[in-house]
Amino acid sequence: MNRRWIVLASVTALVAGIAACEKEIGPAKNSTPYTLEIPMGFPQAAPPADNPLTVEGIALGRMLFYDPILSQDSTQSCSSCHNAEFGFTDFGKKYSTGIDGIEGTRNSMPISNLLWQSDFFWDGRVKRLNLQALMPIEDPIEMHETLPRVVAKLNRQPRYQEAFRAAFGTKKASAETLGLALEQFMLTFVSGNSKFDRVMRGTETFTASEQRGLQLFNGESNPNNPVRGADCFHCHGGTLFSNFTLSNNGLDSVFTDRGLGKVTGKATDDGKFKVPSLRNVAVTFPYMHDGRFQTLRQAIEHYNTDVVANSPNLDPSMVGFVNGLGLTQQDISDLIAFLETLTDESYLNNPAYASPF
Amino acid sequence: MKNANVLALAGFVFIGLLSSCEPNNPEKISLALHVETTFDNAPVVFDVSQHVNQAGETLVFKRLDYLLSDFTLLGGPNGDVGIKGSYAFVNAKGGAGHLELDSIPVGQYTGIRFNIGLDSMVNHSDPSQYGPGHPLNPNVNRLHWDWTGGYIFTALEGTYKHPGHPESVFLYHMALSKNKRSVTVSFPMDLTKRDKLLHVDYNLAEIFRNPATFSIEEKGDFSHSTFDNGIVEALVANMGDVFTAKHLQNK
Repeated sequence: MNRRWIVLASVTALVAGIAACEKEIGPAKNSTPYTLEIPMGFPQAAPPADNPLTVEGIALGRMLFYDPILSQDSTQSCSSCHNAEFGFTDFGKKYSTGIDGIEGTRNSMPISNLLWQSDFFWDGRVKRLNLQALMPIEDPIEMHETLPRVVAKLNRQPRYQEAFRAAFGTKKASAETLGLALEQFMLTFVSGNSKFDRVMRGTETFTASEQRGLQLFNGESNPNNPVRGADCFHCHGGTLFSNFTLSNNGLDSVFTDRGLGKVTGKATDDGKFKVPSLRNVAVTFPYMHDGRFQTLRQAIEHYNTDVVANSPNLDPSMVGFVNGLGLTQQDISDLIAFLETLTDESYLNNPAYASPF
Repeated sequence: MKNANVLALAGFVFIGLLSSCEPNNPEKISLALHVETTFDNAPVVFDVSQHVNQAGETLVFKRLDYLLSDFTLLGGPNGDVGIKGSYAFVNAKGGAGHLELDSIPVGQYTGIRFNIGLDSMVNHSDPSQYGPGHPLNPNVNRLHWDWTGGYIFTALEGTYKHPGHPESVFLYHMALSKNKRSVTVSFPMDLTKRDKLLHVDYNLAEIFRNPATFSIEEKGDFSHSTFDNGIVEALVANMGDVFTAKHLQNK
């Protein structure tokens, strides 16, 4: 059994076991409800019913996110591989390196607008953020710690005793409340104030290049259509700039990483990976699940000329790509100009997301 | 006062119905619909099962998502009973469809009518107004399309192999208000005593043959509803009989 699957099984079993043994977990009686502000135009969404957001829960999650206490040797925190200034990715690295100096095999995923998502990790193997948050802790090539040891470490610290009491009404931490607190903090990561958003709100205007990039982005690749399109919107449409499905975008004819197929055991899922949001995409380089493209231009060139037509399980949305999009270098420059308008500086530099330490 | 008097959630189908708020009334009854996706009575296993259409093309379906609206019970004791503001999202790959219509006056009915797709006003309404579980919330249905300024009514995707040709993918995103399709499912229903469950098939074979044979190879393997040489128009024309009632049972 792959060690990551052992981690998944053990985390799930541990959390379920703890949940079964202890009283029902919920916000502390005197905690302060927190209302998440949904940007204009975003679909409505609500936090999980069993984990309502509170000021205290979010504050605890923020401490945990930035505290290397979660790793075995106290050298790495969540933020070590998820830096806010890079859209919560790993400083432009292709792969992240764990506490034992072992390099991973997938690119650190950008984190934003998780409230609207239900498949986590590139292969979608976890369906709930509170469980996702625990897995890097026990992953042997990441933090390489155990949840019981983390919980014990937290319970020895008065500041965490107080923080858990304020958030969940008990000073005793558990794997479950650890996951819930991290979930609460990460659910507050809402990016909806990019130039694109301000243009949509009517307070700014696109440059000519950005406007043309938008038209290409939302245009279909169709020989019958006199207007050239880049067909981006199929998978990256809507205000969230992703359909959040798991899809094969035609990178390879043979897969070295099965992606979703490894999760489900189905050959028909091989090569499928989560479609990431393009919000803040200009700062979340490199691109694709394995970080194979260093620049946006390289990523767009893949879609323009290099989609592998015989890639198994190629997503039907790629039908317009297999014969090439026919984009010119100017088209690509315009697309990049538009994509750069999705950078949300107020998100990347939001003090509420910064380290509390 | 309005309230959501029915909110059914089963499998991957989300239904929200809005109608007049009324107290429990023994003269009212509910009807649930359970939708199975088939290809001429053979179950469709998405990504796996192969089916041959009227044109002799071998198909594997990968996605069938659609929006239904404006349900009306037909031929009741006091005429047709429309349920205003009734919507359903069906993700056929995710599981069988299931929806519930409440507060139906008791009586004998001859069938049910609804739309595949949305009327123009709803199609172009602000999608951010719909609550987290509403069928028209874009985060629920993944069918809202900024490009057309509305929703995709039916998303049908898969692979096909025309005889003598290599396998390829097909994608049909049927959108635009003009492509809303009204369908009627005729079936005598005794809704006088107990709440009932009506089993309905969505027969994908119909889309490729009735009334006109639709060859993917000949017509074209993708459409986003514009500049498509009539592909979506032809597909929608073949959708009149995709739904067939199979049997009615007590709930």
